[in-house]
Amino acid sequence: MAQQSKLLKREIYSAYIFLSPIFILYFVFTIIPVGMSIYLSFTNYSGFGFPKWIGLDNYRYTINDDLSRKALVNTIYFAVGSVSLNTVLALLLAVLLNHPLKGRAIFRNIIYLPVVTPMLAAAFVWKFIYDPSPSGLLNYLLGFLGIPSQQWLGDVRFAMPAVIIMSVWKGVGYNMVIYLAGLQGIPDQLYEAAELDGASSLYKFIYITVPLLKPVTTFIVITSTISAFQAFEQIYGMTEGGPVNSTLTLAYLIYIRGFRSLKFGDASALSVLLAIMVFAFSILYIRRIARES
Amino acid sequence: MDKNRYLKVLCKLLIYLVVLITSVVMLLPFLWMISVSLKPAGQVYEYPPRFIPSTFNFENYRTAWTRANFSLYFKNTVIFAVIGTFLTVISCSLGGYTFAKLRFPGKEVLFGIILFSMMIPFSSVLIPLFLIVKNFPLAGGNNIFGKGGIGLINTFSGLILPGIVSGYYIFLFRQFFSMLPDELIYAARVDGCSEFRIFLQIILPLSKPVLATVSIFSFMSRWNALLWPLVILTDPKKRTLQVGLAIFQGEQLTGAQWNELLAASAIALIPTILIFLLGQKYFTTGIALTGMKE
Repeated sequence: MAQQSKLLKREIYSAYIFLSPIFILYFVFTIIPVGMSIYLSFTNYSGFGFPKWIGLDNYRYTINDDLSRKALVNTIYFAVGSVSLNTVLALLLAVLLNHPLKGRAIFRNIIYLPVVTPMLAAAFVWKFIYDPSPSGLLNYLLGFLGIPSQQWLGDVRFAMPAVIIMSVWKGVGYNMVIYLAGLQGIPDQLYEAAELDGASSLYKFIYITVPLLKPVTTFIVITSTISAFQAFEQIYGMTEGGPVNSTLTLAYLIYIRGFRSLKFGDASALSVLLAIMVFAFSILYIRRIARES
Repeated sequence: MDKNRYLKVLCKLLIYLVVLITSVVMLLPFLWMISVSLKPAGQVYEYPPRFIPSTFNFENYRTAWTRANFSLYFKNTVIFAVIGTFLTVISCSLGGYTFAKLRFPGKEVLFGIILFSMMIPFSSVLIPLFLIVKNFPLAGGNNIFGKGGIGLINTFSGLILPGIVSGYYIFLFRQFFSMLPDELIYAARVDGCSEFRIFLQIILPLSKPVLATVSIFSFMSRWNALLWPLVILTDPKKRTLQVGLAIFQGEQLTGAQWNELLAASAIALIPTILIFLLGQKYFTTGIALTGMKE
């Protein structure tokens, strides 16, 4: 008994020692920054001297500021567009690549390949694919269909869809792999039973695959939305928020306001806004999971 | 019956066709990058565009490598990614083990606090992180109150430290370690083995898949990181590849030297593809570990 309690004591002691470096780093580089972000959002600060408390002024400014509103609308546009397209394509590709095809592993790897590449390098090549001249790859290829050359990234109508398409290309492989893992969990007997009843492939997809993958879909939609809310690198590499701010996202505006204009207070109000959006989605997800299990 | 089989073959062919077309579309940007990066300047804007350049102009790669000082950026990135990954794997695996196997008061609460970090968007803490790193006490000419110098700006420590603790990796490790049998640990404990030795000599050797997965994920995310390095590296000698690539593009305001920019992009991109091809099975291991199996 005495030895037991000695062992347990040692276990507790070790646990706290193992966790202490993690929690020190976590406190300095996560907890304090969160607190500071909230504090700075109530101040006027340019990085020199001390922050000056100005109450809710930054929030008042942000709510009435056209650029912030535009960034918010664009961020939602980007999130809705990229997440819905990404999820649907990922599901379709996963179902196709779940068939026993020859070279299936190679196809999966090809679709996953953009996921591992640096976003900036990918953004540059896509920027050149979208080149407005007739010799731009997209313009050239669409020329075969009789579609005249467009200024893809220079046109307020096309710039955001172009960024969305690039982002879906970059991210669809990741969600496809998650769906493939989800498909492994559906028992074959369900499909076999449906086949005995003479069900078509489409019927099986709609009435077996889609409903049984619902938890996976929830996971994908929410995690993708959270990361879409933070879209920065593709904007930085392709459009810098233009043309006429049509691709300006919240994360990009935070960067510009913070590090180009040194308006740390305004940028922090935007940061808090973004964090609340992400937080709300995370809570939504946690509640969904709690209800489903 | 015959008609049915005919239909099945047709269906299969259709699937192959769709998969094949998708693969070509997914690969096209890579092929285009390589094609343009090898073109002589005169062929970049040629109409109709040439898919295979008339001569392979490897000169573009040399220009990118030397003029943009990519050899230095490459070295910096390797140091940053390797040291950062090492520290991340050590601390997150130890954390994951503690949460999976050790009993101590406050476990649930502390784990909840760690998971909370996964909900914080990086952009939201970018400004305070910058201020903390800049005002880090007793570093880079700062006094004990963090004033007077540049702190950890332009240092590897400033680059690495904020990214070491990751709720996601701790979660992955915990998932894996909780699948290991407790008996192993009990036996060693009764034999008087210290908790750290149990972790080091019994747990870690059994955990190669999860160690490989987190190492690869962590290495890749550092290799590809842009925003944080962009913010804290102002000294050209400290730049990482991604920052160098961003600056290289900015310096090319005079006309589009796309062949050189895409050669530089390829230099930044090729190592990630090699790592993926070498360690491909570990990418899916991580996804399976998140518990998305059903």
